[in-house]
Amino acid sequence: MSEFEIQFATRGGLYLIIHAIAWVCVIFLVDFLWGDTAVQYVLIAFVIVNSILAVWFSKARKRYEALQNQASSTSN
Amino acid sequence: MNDRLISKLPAATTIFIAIILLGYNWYLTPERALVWGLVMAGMFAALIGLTIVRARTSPENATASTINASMFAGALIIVASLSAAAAGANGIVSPGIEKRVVGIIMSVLLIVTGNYLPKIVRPLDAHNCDPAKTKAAERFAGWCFVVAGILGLFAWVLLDTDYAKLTFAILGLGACGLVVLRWQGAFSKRNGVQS
Repeated sequence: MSEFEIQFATRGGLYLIIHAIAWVCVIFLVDFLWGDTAVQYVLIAFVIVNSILAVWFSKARKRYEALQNQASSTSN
Repeated sequence: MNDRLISKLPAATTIFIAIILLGYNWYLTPERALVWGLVMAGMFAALIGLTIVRARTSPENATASTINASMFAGALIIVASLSAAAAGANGIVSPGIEKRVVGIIMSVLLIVTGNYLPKIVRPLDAHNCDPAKTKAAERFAGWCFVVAGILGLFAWVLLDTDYAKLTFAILGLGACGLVVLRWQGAFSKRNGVQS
């Protein structure tokens, strides 16, 4: 298990679950308040936000692992 | 469920069935083309992502198994709701039933997630986390999700769809808020614990 995965498992995993549940709740809330048409815009926001998050997550992992490799090579 | 079994869940087939059902729903209700198009784009992206993960890792890899299981679960929810929507559009069941189906599935998912959370075996002492505090925070999160899920399930079964939506949204967002607050408290630097 890499350092990134350990850090992710201890905190990020739960945030990921909460994030998914919160999106579903927001979609239901928007549907109740403004109807089906508004839900379409929430779906667009969902796609955009999660695409950005996926790219950020991938970059953060690479950056974190590069820093870890650099630190371990310096200590050796 | 062990990793070997999880890695064999038919995620790609389920996503493919979801894409076919999306096409059928698009044909039935073309006025909602934006929604169908967006979800279909998401399904294709998931299929490509799954193919890349499978090509780069072995099926027994823990991360690949988790991704496979998550995509299978997500696609299964979409297949269930699209089947209900198609049945509603064809007059087999009452129209709008798909929202109730999704709500019931999401409530069950909340209960399952709540039950599963405290059972996840993690390196609890990683990054100097206090194992007792980590476990207590996970148990609290588990309870919040289970209670919200059970109440949400009752709401979706007993209430009118509109009020069920509102009740589930309040319960879900409330549970998420409580868990985030508790989680922050458990790992704040005031406690001398790093996350």
